[in-house]
Amino acid sequence: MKMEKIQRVLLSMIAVLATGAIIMAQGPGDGKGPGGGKGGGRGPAGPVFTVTSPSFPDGGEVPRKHSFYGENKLPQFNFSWVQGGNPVAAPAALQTYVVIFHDIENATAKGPADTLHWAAFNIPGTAKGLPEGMGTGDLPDGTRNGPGIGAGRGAPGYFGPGAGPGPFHHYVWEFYALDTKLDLPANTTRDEIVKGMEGHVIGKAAYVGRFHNVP
Amino acid sequence: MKMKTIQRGMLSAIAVLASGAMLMAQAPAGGKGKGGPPRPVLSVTSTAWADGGEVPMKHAGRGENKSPAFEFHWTAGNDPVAPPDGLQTYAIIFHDIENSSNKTTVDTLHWSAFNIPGTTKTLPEGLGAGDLPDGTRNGPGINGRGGNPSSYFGPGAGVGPFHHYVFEFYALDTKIDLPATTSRDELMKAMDGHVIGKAAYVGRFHAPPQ
Repeated sequence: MKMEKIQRVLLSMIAVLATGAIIMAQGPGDGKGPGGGKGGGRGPAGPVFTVTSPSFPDGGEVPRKHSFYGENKLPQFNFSWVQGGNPVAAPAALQTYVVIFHDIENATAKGPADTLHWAAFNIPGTAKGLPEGMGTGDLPDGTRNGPGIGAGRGAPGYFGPGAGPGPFHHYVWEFYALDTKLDLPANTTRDEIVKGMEGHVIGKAAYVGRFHNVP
Repeated sequence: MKMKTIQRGMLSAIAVLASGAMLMAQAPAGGKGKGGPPRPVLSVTSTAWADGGEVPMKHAGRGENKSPAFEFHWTAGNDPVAPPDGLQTYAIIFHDIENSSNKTTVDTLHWSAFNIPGTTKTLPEGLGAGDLPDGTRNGPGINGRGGNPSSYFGPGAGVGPFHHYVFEFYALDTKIDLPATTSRDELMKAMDGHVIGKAAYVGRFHAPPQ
C-alpha cells in the first residue's frame, strides 16, 4: 500500500513536470515575447526558421503546374532565418534540412495516417532553398529523395497534389532544420525519418497549399 | 540465389501493389470510387475566415479565444448527400504544426474534442468547455491542464513568421470511450480503423507588430 502511494505521488510529480515542459515549450515556439523568436523572456532569443515561395501564396491554391495533373514540378521554396523581423545567420549547429510533403485529407484504410507524397532529407544546411522542379534520386549536393508516391513508382522525388474534383485537399510542406545528418537509405520509411529527427529539430517551418482537380 | 530472386520478385510485386493502392486512395478522396456510385466525402467550411487565410484576433489565444463556427458537409460528385450510415461521431484535432518542442518532431496540440454526435451539422462559435449536453467531450490541449476544464485554445504565435494552425476533422464509425484527460496518442489509437471521412481547415496566425 505504501509503495503504491509513493508511486502515485511520483506519477503526479511527473505529470506536473511534463505539463510545465509543455507550457514552457510554447515560449520559444509561440514566440510570445517581441522578436518572434523569444522564449517569453526565458533564455536568449534564437533565430527562427521560415520558408517562403514565389510559386503561390501560403495557404492558397497550388497552381496546376505543380500538381500531378500538370507538370508535377516542385514549387520553388526559399529558406530564411529571422530574429526580431530581421534576417540573421542560421544557427551554427545547423547541418541539414528535411522536407515532408503530405496530403492531410486522406485517411487510408480507415486509419488516422494521412498520405505521404514526398520526403527528402540531407538537404545541406547551406541550401538557401529548393529549386523549382528539383531532381529525383540522390542529388550531387547530398540531398536524398526518400519515400513517397514517386518512390512507390520507382522514381523517388516530388509528387504533386492529385485530389479529384471534390472538396479541396490541404497539402502541407513541413520543413525541419536539423543539427545532424540522417544515415538512412532512400527506401526508408516516413516513420524512420521522423525517428531519425527526434532530438535534432532546431527549427521548423510549414507552407500550405490547397488543391482539387478542376476538369 | 534462386530464393533471393523470388524474394526480389515478390518485393517488386508488393511495391507495385502498394503504389497502386496509394493511387487508388487518391480516387475515393476526390469523391470517385472505381466502379460503384460516388462515395460521400466529408468537407468542412467556416465563415470565420477563408480556408488557408489569417485567423482573426477574435479566435486567437491572445484575443477573445473563441472557437470559430464550422459547418459539416457530405458530398458525392459535388452534390450534397446524406452522411454514411456508419457515421457515429466526429473528432477534432487542432494543432500548431510549426512548433517543435525540445527538438522533437512533436508539434503543439492546442485543442481536441471527440464524441461530437454524427447528427451534428454545425459547431457554434465559442463552443463550451468540458463535457457538453450533446455528448461532445473536450479533450487534451493547452487548456485542461492542472484540473481546468478542457476547451478550445486559439492561435498564440508571436510577431515572427506565421504559424500554420490546422483543424483536422475525423468522421468515425464509433464512439470513443476515453476520459477528457486522455492523451493525443490515445485518441489517435482509438480512432485507428474507424475513420470513414476526414477534412481539414487551415488558418495562419502571428501577433500584429507592437
